[in-house]
Amino acid sequence: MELRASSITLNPRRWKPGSQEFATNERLAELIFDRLVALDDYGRFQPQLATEWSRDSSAKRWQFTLRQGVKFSDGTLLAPGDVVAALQPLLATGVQISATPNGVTIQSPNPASDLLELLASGSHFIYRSDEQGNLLGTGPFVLENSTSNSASPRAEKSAADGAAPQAQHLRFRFNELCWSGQPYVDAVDVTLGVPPLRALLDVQLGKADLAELSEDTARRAQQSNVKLWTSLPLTLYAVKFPAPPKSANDRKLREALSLSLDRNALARVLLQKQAEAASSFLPQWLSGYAFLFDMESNLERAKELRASLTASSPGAAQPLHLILDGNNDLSKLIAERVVVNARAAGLTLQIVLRTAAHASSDGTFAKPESEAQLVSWRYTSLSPREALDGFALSSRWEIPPGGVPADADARYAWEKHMMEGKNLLPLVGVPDFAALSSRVRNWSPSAWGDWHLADVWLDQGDSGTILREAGAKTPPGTKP
Amino acid sequence: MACPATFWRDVLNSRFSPVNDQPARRIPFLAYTIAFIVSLVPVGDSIFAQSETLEDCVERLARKAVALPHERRMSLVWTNHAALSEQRAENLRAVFAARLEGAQVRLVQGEAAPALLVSIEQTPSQIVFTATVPAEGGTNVAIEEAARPLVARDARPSNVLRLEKELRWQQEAKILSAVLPAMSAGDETTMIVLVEDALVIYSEEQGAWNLRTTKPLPPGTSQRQRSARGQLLIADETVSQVGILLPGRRCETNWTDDSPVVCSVTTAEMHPARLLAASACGTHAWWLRSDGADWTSEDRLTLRNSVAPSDSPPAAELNVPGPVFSISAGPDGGSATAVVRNVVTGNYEVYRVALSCAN
Repeated sequence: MELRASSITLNPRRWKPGSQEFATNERLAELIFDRLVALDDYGRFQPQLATEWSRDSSAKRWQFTLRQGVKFSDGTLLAPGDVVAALQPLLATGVQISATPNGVTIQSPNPASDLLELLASGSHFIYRSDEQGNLLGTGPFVLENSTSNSASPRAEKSAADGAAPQAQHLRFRFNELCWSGQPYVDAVDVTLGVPPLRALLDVQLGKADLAELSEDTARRAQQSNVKLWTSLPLTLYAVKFPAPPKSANDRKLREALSLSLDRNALARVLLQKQAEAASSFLPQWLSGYAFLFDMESNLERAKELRASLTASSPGAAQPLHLILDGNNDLSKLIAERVVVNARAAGLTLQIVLRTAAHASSDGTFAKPESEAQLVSWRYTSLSPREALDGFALSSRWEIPPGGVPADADARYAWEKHMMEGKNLLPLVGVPDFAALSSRVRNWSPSAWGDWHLADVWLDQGDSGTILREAGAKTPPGTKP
Repeated sequence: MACPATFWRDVLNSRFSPVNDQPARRIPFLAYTIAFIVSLVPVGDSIFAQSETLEDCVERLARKAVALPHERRMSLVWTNHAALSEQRAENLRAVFAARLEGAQVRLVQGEAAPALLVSIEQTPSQIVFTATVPAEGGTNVAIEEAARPLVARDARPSNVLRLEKELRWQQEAKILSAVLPAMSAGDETTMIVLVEDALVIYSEEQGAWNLRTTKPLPPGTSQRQRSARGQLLIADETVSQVGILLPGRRCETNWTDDSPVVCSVTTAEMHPARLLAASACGTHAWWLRSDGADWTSEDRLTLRNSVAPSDSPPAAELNVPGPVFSISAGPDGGSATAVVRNVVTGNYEVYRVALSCAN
């Protein structure tokens, strides 16, 4: 298996919400950790480490019964205390989890009707640390080793305890103690930091069985015989302003920019129908109500607003800086189209890489009023409330007392209010892509990005490598 | 060696991974009895939650819509984007309309009236109902959510279609797959059982199965006990031929004679779903599949119209006493053979599952 990320950390506490790295970490953590519950394709919550659950009528108190006899990969039994230790740091402030004789109880100060969605996704894995600080799980695989270019002897340990910045190859072997049985493949070899084009070639050449692709390489894959997997639109690209508008002029600028954007053309033409136009932070597949948000593109109105801007306004006399983080090709492409759209309305935008923005000649940062940022946000939670909460926290939005509402009516109203503030101008939602070799069988990922690699098996027609069987000498499913 | 081009329309495999082969948990009957009694005692919200229906949800939405500022005459536009059948969506529309008319809102058609838009959407875990009412300078919105499994819970299984099961065989040793072929219609006096290393053929005489022959699988097809999986298929054209799908291999033999099992490399997959058809049940073909919730618990076979959405409610369902390991097509297309591991006894059981129509 080949992934784009150049480093991983398996410690869920260190994952940064909304980042692509979060998704990669989660994908690999699923190999070695389990959650309390899982969500199936039919919207049903399925038992994992919890076999039963119930809640009170207010949805503030939840009780979970743990599966009996589950062992961590070192042979120790899973205990309620392990669940408490793993989940407490991941739960919101004020939410308390406590051990019971055969399970755990979660008490929330506010109704937590989305608790199952929360626990079935994101970082809510159950794990524990051994005496050496290695993270142990109950999942179908265990991290056997990791290697790096520097061949650091610490690599293996650092990967297991969550920090494997130098690791480029990871090997996960089957966990013979896994409560749900052994996976089909004996092992999963993971190569990190593989550029998408090379990854696609590796799949085509039989050097890899599964590889993460970018949207442009996905188009190439479609034109070849490679099997292509596409998820729901899991990554939002948007223009974000650092603070609420400080003046009427500032507000007009954002309104004009928003009206100048042709999101449908962005999705259909620029991204060749591989993305969906976005009008809200939460995507339609996650909230069910995103279609209620306005996605108006009105160039004439944008021009009117532009004409009413003061001469000294960013976007008028001086360019509005559109800051880009890192060297992401897709971000650049989208940013360039935003600049073109804005120019049609008479607005001047200038793309600036983050590092360049901070290296202005006088050594000071650009003024926030003259900055916007092209951001990407990867959805990793099945709880719309948590997804919104995570973004609001990272964007320093003003969150109501008690947090983002779980109730759909109130959540919609709050999101609408925040979107009307024009701090965030959503652009497009882009899916994840992966290429699969022809010998991958039983590939049954969830639409929201779980790969379920424990269910995958490999056709034995020829010898192979990635999702490489643990030893090509002993193909999976056969006696050595 | 070439295999027959077509096998019986396949049934489907369990969603359980056959790899998940662990010793069956033998739970004493007393424990089950106690668990059953306890399960009858209303416990907090679980009973509360089960009483919820999509109709309840739509009624709440209607109450919210009525509470929004609105005109007395409105046109109702009802849109279903979720995995609800049109019939079901129409029933929900009727519930919604009745509630509105009870609140003195007159729903009109073909007349100029403000539109009350109701949309049914779907997320990974929820059915989301939105009602939008025009307002000055925009719209007012009401939203209700319901858990997606309510779609299936509320749907009434068809009265016409029925699945019936009959236990034909059980043993302690693991069974990967089984078929009940017939040389002539209704003549199922032979049972072929695929175990990890052999094909075992039984004949029925005076109500008892007698071992007729055992055909070892050739070298190279052995599988690890825990991950062993396979599937039997009977050819449409030549009933005496049985196909065996193993990971990466396809084997074949004539079960009526002493010919050996011959295997070749293949890329054919063990399909996750297969079709059943019964002429008495109309021209539809039906997907029969297992609906496993937990690897240590009882399972359910469900029947769905092959042209309906994959997440549409089942047309018929049948409980079985453990996870379903494999399903193979029967000789007439209207029956199947299911291998189930009984969670109480730990035995592997072979059931004949028949599709019947009670018209």
